[in-house]
Amino acid sequence: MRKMEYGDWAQVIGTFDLATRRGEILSMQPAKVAFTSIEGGENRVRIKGLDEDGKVLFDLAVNPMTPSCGNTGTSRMFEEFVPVQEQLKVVRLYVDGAEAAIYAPGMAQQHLKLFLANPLADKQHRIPIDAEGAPPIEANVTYLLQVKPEGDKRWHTMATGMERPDAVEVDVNQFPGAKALEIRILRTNGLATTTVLETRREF
Amino acid sequence: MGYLEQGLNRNGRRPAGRLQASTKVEVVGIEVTQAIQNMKHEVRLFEGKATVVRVYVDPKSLKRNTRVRGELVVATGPGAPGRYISSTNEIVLRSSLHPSIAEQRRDANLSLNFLVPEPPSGSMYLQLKRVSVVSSGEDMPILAGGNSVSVDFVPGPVLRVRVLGIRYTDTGSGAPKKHAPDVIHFDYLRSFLSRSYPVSRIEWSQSVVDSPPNFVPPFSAPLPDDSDPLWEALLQMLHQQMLSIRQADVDAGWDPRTHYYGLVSDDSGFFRGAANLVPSTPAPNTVAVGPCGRPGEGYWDKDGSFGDWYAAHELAHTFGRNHPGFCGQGVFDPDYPHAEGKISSEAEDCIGFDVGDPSLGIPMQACPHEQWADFMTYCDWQWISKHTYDGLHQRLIDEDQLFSPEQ
Repeated sequence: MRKMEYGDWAQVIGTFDLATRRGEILSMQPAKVAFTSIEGGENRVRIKGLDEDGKVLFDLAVNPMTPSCGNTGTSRMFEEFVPVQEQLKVVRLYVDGAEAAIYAPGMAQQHLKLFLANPLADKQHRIPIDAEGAPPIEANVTYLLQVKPEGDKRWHTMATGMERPDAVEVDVNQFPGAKALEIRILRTNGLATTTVLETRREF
Repeated sequence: MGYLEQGLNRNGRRPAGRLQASTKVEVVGIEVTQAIQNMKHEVRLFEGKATVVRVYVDPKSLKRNTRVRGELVVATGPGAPGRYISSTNEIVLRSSLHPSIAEQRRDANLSLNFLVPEPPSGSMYLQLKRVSVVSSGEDMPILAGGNSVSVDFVPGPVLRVRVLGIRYTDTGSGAPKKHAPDVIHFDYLRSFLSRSYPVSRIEWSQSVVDSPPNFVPPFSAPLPDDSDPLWEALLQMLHQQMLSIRQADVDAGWDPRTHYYGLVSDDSGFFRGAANLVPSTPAPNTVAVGPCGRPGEGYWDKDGSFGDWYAAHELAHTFGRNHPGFCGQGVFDPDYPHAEGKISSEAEDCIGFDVGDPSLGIPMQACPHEQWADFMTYCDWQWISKHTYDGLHQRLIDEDQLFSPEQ
């Protein structure tokens, strides 16, 4: 059973395999709306959040996700929502009590100067994102692209999990008829999100 | 030979007065259907959902086969002000061996069909008022009794779905080429969901996004033990992408009840679809992906996309619907009531009905339970059963209650 909660959460997506006793944390991103598990899950696979002194802030069993169709072997995904507190320094994944993966949130801040570049002559509908200098790839820091067409109240997420903020183009064709687009790039270190580009392009 | 020599009026129609005085038409049944129904109207009807009133008739004392059309009055009750609607089709009344009601129910071309595009909530009284001969315009008297029916329309849930076309790069031969689903596949999918799902309306959005960089064809490499680690890895990539995008969208104000579906073009091979889970309790954060493309020659699905019913299956998983266990799948819904995964049985007596979609050239079509299977099976000829219809409806209601956004 899932329950919707608002607040400071993080969505943790990972995989585990009980047969090989392995696991991986694939991504972690902050969430203001969480779909938390009420009953718990597979007790042999747990994610724990710890502070800098190693004190456990949360400890929950993950809910295995068995795909609906096909012969799906022994690897399973999970999506869990964990509470984010200031003291949270690391998230660890355990399979049968042994640590299988560790996620230490990335650097909190990074100075970046981003801007919209001119489309290539043969790809006028794709606006590249450019950066001053070469933004470094940082451990456990990812970027996402959101676009809001004029007249819409919602940001449309067009890309997530990018290692670099300039590794994406804005595909104008996805917003037919829009007279203007607001465009933003968000940087996340797993626990917090900051806006590193917010701009508008009119047509 | 001119129209006068053919015995026609100047408008090209035959003069009236050709019917025998004793010729009449009896209404042997009226069925109000939105996707599946039986003659007891045990399948609930939803306001706002395209509806077809099917009138089954039997001619009396007819001397020759006669083509007719019909007019129906729609009102909130007997005696209340109503409005006329005309049948969308013409039928041929047979002077002998006119099809039985059972035969008429199984063929959309044998019943008089009246389309009510967006019925309001509440009672609806329907009365067949007129059957007219197409060639002459002459009225064929309707026998009293059985020519009206009252049904109730109730508010239905909203299906919120965001479909993301996955744009991948094929580097297999020659220069890298990008592939994304054509718009027509989104159109077919949206249409199929609106025709088959138990909802009053669909809140729809669509877009195309780039796939994760490692999502490239080939999409499958089965091993001798039937496992397919390559497909599994690719499936996990897309599920992760769907989950991440969904979460970012919901945080940005999208309705938390929105279900996400990824659509993969079969340009570079067939990518088998799956939901990431079949949740036993409401969980709108469940996602699914699946293929799309044109059906092959000789396939049961003759329209322009197989991605529509395929997605209806995978999306239904995200609403907790399981495999009933037919045509090569395991049994995960042991309560499925019909043999061979068919959409109904003699006892339940439901007939599927696709109201069609003129914008896509999809005609109205009856789906007899002897032929059509539930779309949660892996059988050919897929439509929805009452069992799945009711199950989806209940889950949609539950999600509405549990996951309504904060105002």
